[in-house]
Amino acid sequence: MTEQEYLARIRELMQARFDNIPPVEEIELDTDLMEDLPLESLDMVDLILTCETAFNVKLDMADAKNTHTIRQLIAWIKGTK
Amino acid sequence: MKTFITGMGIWSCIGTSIPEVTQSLREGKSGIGHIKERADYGYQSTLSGIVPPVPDSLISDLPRSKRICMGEPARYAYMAVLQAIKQAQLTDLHNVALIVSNDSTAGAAAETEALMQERHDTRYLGAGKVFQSLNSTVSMNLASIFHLNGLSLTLSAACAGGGHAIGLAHSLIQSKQIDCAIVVGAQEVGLHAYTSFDAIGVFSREASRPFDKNRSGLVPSGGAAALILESDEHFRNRMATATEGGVTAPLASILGYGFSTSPSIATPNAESILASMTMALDNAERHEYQVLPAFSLGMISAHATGTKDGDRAEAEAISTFIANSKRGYHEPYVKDVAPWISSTKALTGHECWMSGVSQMVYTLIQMHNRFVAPNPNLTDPDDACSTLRIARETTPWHIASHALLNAFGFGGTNSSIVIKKE
Repeated sequence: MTEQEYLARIRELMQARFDNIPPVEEIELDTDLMEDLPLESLDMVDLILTCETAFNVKLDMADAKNTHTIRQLIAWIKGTK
Repeated sequence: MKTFITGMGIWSCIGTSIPEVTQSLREGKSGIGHIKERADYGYQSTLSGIVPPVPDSLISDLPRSKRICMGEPARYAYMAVLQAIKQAQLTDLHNVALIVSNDSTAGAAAETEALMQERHDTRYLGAGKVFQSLNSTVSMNLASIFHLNGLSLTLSAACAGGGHAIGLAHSLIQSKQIDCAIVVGAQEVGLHAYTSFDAIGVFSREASRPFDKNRSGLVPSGGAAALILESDEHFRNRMATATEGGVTAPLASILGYGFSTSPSIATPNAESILASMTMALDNAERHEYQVLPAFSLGMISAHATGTKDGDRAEAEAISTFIANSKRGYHEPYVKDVAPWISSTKALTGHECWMSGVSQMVYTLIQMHNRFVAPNPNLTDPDDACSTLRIARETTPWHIASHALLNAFGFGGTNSSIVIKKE
């Protein structure tokens, strides 16, 4: 999958999961998850769990502290595949 | 120092607001019905309080991250607390304590099991399930939603929990460790909530008949009830700084809290019930510096769930409690004086972990509207009730001043609270 394909899929997941975020077309690779959307810490956990099942990966929650943007999230997912 | 009750709220099978519950109590309108799904699942009895679910629209103003943590009891409790805070006109929740009675989260456990059997992967449970699953789910959620920063906890004492939650809050206020508390009783009523109760045959298949000779068990029910308790000093400070509209007068003050434990895990005995009530009344007398004999109470809100042994033990205890209090008084003056014995579980069913708090709401409603709610299913009173004054129909309550409330639970735990109308 390309980076843009990951972005499109993550936009779909977020639209289905969260009801208090900006329109998904405004979510870009450098959107900061907790600053721009904004997601709370529990939402982040939810997003990570959703990505694990959607992309069939195992993400270590300890690495979540290094993940602030969509770009970093995609890199994290790709890095575990 | 007084402990005032300044607000109340309720979400129950006889109403989801104080005005609605008032009307149901006055009219003797039952909230009990049959849940067919329980028969399909394997319950012996399908009778239940029919508690309306909390629609998503009523919690849509909460952030999603909070909504996903709220299971059934937390949703009920949130609605009840909103009402109580509004009635008390409590705007500053800084340092307000939160004491909750809850003793199960079977619904969340069942959902977890179903998801795990389907997916065999904990990630499918989502981030909120853990907060729905702990016994302290209600206090956890409410403390977060209302940004509380004082004491926050859930206590579990089965069906006496509500009474003990009120008593604990009162004790902490009297010892000046807290000034104000939200007290909540919450009870789930989903399909999985009462399976193990049903297994031991405590449920009636016919009706809720507290104190009746033909009673055949309790009818499970639930929802949530909430109270605002505060010291008189805290209340006066709020009055002094209140803006336009002022602050609503207190509903009642708590005079005494009593407790005991029965030797049996399942059934209280008369001796331990008498001990609990006596302790509560003794504490009330000490608090008020005046004699307060049991016969002078306006009402005793009985636990009375409709079980054979439980109702009999309580009726015997109350009879002894009243009779003993008349000793030393000139017999003709006190012969016909007796409190009303309220048994609202005929209308509501047994609300279990919620019941001590909801009973307080029902008692305060009767007290302030000057009526005794009926026990319409009492057609042939048990012999143990021969000296007790139990209203079968809605009855005027002319001198509604003092009341004593009982809540007893599995494990033998008993609680009693004495209040005075303000």
